[in-house]
Amino acid sequence: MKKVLVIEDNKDNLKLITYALKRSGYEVVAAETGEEGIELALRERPAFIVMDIALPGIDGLETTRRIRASDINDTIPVIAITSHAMQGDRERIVAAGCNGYLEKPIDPLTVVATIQDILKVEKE
Amino acid sequence: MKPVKSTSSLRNSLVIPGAAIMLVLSLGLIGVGYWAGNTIVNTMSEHLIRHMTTSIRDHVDIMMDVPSRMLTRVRNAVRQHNIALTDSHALARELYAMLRDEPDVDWLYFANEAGGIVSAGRLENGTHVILMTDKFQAGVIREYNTTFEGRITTLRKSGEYFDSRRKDWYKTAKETRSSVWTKAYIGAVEPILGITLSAPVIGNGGELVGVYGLDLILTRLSDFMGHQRLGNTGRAFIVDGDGYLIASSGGVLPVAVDAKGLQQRLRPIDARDPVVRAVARHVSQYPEIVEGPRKADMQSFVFEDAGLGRIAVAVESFQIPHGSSWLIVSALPASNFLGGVYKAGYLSLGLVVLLVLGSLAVGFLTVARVLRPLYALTGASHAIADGGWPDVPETHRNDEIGVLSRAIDDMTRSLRTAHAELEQRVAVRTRELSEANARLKELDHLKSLFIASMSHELRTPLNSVIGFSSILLNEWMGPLNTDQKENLDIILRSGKHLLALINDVIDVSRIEAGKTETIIEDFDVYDVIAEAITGVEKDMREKRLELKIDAVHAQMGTDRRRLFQCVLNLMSNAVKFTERGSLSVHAALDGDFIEISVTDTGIGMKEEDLPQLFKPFVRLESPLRSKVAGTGLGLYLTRKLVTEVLRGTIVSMSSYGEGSTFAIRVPVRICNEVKI
Repeated sequence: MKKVLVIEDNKDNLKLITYALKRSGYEVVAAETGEEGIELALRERPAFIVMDIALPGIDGLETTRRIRASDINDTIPVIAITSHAMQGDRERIVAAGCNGYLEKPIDPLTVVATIQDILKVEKE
Repeated sequence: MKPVKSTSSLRNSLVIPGAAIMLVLSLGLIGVGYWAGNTIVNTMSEHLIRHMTTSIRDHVDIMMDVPSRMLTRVRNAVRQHNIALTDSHALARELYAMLRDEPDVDWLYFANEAGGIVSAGRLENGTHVILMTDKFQAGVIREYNTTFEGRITTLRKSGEYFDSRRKDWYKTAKETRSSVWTKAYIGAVEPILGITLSAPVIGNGGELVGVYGLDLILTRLSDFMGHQRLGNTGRAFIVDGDGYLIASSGGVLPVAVDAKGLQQRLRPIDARDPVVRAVARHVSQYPEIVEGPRKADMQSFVFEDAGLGRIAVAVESFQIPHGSSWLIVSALPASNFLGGVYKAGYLSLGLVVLLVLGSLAVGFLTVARVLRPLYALTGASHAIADGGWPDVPETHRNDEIGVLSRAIDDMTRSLRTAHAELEQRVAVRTRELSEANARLKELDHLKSLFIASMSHELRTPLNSVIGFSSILLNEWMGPLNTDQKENLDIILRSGKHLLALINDVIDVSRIEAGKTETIIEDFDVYDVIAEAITGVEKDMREKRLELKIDAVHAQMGTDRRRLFQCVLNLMSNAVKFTERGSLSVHAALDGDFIEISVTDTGIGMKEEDLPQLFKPFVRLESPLRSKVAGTGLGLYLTRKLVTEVLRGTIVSMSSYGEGSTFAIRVPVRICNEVKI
């Protein structure tokens, strides 16, 4: 079973994404802050990370940069979650090292398919 | 401001009328002067010639009267002294005594029927002589010296044979038995014109005893006439009944010597003097002129001579006692005086020319002196009009220009003050405005922040509403009954609507705040349309609507996401309000623009509703209104995006009940530099 790290401070969203991922057969490891996320990523070695950008403390972009800065984790796909994408956010997200992004609201019916699309493009 | 150039010259309008009036008045004055001069000359000429004629007549009158009285005196003296008319020596003494007392008569004589004559005379040198024929009868006539008493002393010379009875004067007296004047004749001795008065002596038996005679030398008359002056060219002359000159003024001699050395009497027409000749010529052409004066008093007239111009003439007839009549003529050419009048006229004309030229020069100089400060003032005014504050010239003057200058100066100062006050006020207002503007911007920023954070805060719980109701509805948590499904569906639909509303509000507020970033990408317009179709495909399938696409492939350089948003919006609207029929999407290039239109066969719109179409939060009344979800911001946002982000236009056409067309027309490429 593939392990997925979800870094999301909003418990409702976290629950929603977890439902969707688990239903598709993923094992979900969750973190509520950037620091906790980095620690879990190093320890659990997930297949990919789903990262909320708007996090308390260090935000998702900074968290992604730090994960990318660590030698071991520089190949882990990071999929960002943004709210109603602000123009210009996309560039910053890509620049920070994310592989793709999801826009809120998270549709539990399609979110996994979207993530798999991003991962597929990444592999190719 | 452009300096206003004057089209008509003040200089000309000030100077030329004055000069013209002066010219006209001067010429009028000259004309009046000329007329007055002419009139005066005419009147004066007539008076002069009339006066001259009268005085000549009086003189001739007196001159002719003296001889008559003299003859009477001689006869009386002879009778008183009982001198026999046969005693030639006694007679000679009487005649001599009488002659000596009468300087106007030169020869006095008595002739008898025997043909003899005794005569006392005065020679030209003043010497008195006595002439006698021997034995007092026809024979040789001899000239003697005489004593003071009239006694003959020595013989001076002997003349030719003489018979008094052959002489005209004797014969006429004898025939008429009355005293008579002869015609004028040329003297036998000297080339002088004379005239003889003869008076018969009748004896008691009625027989002729003899004839007294008296010679009047007309030279004296000529002398007198010569002294009369009628200007420089005026002439007076006397003509006898035969038309010969008796005497004339101006050195015209009545006797001329011809080529053979013979003395001839002159007619006035042969005179050397041009005036005399001209008058004679005129009179010869109009003989009736001299007919009048023979009967009546003096006549005067004016005639025009070809050479001499106008000549005024006075003619008077003078009846010689016991003789023919003479004509006394005075003539005065008008040129005599008119020369002066003309000269005065020319002088006046010259003066007028000088006057007009002088007044023009003075006028122009004066006007130039007046206008120069005016030009300076005009320059200053233009400078003021152009926004400068020049020193106004000519303010030191005391005349009207100075008053004007000071007025302009005052005006300039008050303008300057007003201007400064105005500028200060403007500065204050501008500062207040920019302060207010800054406050507004701050408020606007706060509004944007508020909307941004509010929308975020609204969306977070909304995401949960949508997400979890979606999970429940899809029975991830277990099976649901029909009512539960319906209720959950309502929750899900309402959540999505609320989210769309919030997203639209965010977009609108961004555009209104000018916070929209334009992201320019290169793309094919066809792909955008295809993507938008994908977005409405599901709904179209459900409604079984036909889709017609007629779109070009065209590379564009503009904000792809916004264009997509607009096209999708239009198509989604079309699908929403169309229950059956078709949806047509059309895209074509038109120069540097692309035109994308979406036509449906839906419910359409009423014409009166069209103006409301693009207003925010407006949803038209329609049978589908309650069935169709909508925020009321869709078309408002689309129009904002088309006009303010994509820099194009949007139009709509519709017929109620038949369908609508919405078309946008946007530039194929826009530049990134221009921020919206």
